[in-house]
Amino acid sequence: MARSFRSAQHNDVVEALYIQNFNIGMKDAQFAKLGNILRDNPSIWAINVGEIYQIENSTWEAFADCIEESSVTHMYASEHTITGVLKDRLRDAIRKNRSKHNRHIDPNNIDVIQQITHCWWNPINAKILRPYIKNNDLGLLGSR
Amino acid sequence: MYLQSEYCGTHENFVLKSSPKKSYDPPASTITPPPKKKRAAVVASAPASASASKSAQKKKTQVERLNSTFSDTESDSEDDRETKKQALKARNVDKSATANIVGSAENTEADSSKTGHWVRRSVREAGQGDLDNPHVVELLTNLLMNDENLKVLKLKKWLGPDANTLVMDAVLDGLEVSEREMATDGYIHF
Repeated sequence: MARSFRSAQHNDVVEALYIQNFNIGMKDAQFAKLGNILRDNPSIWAINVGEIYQIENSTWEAFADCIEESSVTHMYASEHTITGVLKDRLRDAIRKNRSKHNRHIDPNNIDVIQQITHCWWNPINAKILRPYIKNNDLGLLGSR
Repeated sequence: MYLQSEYCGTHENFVLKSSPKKSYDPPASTITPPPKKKRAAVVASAPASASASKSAQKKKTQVERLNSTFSDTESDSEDDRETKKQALKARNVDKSATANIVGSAENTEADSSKTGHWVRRSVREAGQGDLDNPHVVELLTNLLMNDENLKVLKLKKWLGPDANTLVMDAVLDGLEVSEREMATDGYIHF
């Protein structure tokens, strides 16, 4: 059954967002806002928030709550900025989110999938995509 | 005979005239300064006490000048006082208007009450100029135009690592969702 969602009025094109190493611009307020955007915008399914050091632990916890409710299936955050428990929580959340949509394994979306790298687990590594990867792009895979 | 009133044209000398010292000052035309070399020799040969007395005289004239200025202000007429009061009232009106714009009336009043001076504060927020950066403008425009090239948005291609919170807020606003309801496409399963 088709359901209706709150969708991006301004932008529903962005599928992956890389915001790493913005320590001046990304404070707690901006990070909390980002979490809300990810929760409310189902078009974004990959996020890189590495090397952001000005965030409080409580804000990271709130961010994890938003990730659980979002469509994010692949992400990266610097391990030295979060606790091990929080990292496990985030990984569990994004693994569960992989059942929410199939853009990360859609062969028609391979152009975008190939560009999404530097995550804890890159979507190009999915076995289902192996037949669709060109020989030139095999280098994108990790250890085979 | 030399007339003091003719010679003392400047305000400074006028004060000197009223001093109890009665010393004859020759007119300027009659003074013939020695040639430069000789003058230097004279200065070098003069005793230290002479130079000290000169500096003391200079200090005296400065003090007298200050006294004269104070005496001028004290002798202002009532009309001048009224005009000053009106100017102060106008300043207060300006201060309240600025406080309304800035939205921090208490701060402005506190500052002015402490210093006694009203200083115009800039209303422009710090770092706002970064929003006019052509890269930032292009990024925000592309976000609003739903540019297909932004499917994978790597902000480091558009912004420097020193991008401030205003820029980041603007970018996040471009990504923010609204309450517009839209049917989902085939990607999303429930």
